[in-house]
Amino acid sequence: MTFQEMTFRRLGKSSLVVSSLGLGCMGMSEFYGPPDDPQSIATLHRAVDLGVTFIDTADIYGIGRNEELVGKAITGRRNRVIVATKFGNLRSPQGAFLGVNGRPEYVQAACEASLRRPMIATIDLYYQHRVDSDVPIEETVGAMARLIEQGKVRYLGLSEAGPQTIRRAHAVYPTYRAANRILALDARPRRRNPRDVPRTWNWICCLQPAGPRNSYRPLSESSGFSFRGFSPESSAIFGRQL
Amino acid sequence: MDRIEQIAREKKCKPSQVALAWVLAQGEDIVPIPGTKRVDRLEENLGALEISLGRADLARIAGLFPRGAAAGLRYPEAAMKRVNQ
Repeated sequence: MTFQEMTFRRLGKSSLVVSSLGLGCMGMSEFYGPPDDPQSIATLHRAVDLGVTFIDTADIYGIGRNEELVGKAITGRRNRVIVATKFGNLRSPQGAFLGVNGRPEYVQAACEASLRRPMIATIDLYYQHRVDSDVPIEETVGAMARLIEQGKVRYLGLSEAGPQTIRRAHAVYPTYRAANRILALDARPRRRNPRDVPRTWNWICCLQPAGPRNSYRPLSESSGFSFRGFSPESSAIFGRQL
Repeated sequence: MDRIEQIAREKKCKPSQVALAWVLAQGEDIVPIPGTKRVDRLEENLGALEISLGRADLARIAGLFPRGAAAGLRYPEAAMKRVNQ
């Protein structure tokens, strides 16, 4: 079966439309064998050439190296892709996981660190990678909303969040949204299309496909969340090497 | 898994493409982001977009893997305590 033509999907009720399949870049920098940057860059280039517009990375993948790799690969192609990255997991320089941090000052610092990598002027979609149970989600989301206000981020997401956390996050953000909308838009130098405007929610939710999806479904329908499945082939259902 | 391979043979595709096509068929609000660092795997993944699983195919797969049949955790038990909060 060979690939003919890309199709697209809207993420929730947001104005963000992405290719129906994205490209996960984590394995290019670690967890799946030794990195091979030239091969990974060739893969990223081929993906963009074939119409993939949705590129997924995170600050902890390769401890910054994955964001750098993605940034290098999309140089000259930046306006053809939606780059999603994530913050919140802490690692030592040697790679040990040190926990999670959802404190507002850390949200700001992590975003600025990602933007310092040769990557992007603006993060298209910024996820909290993992909820910090020691910090009320309202505080984390408040800091994330300020990033939109500052023009650093366009859309927000939560990864691995439970339904109650998503509801609370969603309740907070619209209070910021009305005030920030114009600022956030005008700060974006790359606006190509007047229709590319967050008319509704800037929220997109991400979780694992093997999870308790039924408890999320009402959220999807009432609140305009979208679900991005990660590691779909390694979910428990298709747990064998294919 | 043999039955997934059977469906793949019928569709003239790879089992991994059946898996991705199945995820894609679960709703227009889902965007899978398969990871790969190889061009050939990328192209194989994108091939899943060409596979249409009809209602009968989806019913067959649902029959193979009833809800709750998935076994095992995504992360080790200690790590699972930190997710879905």
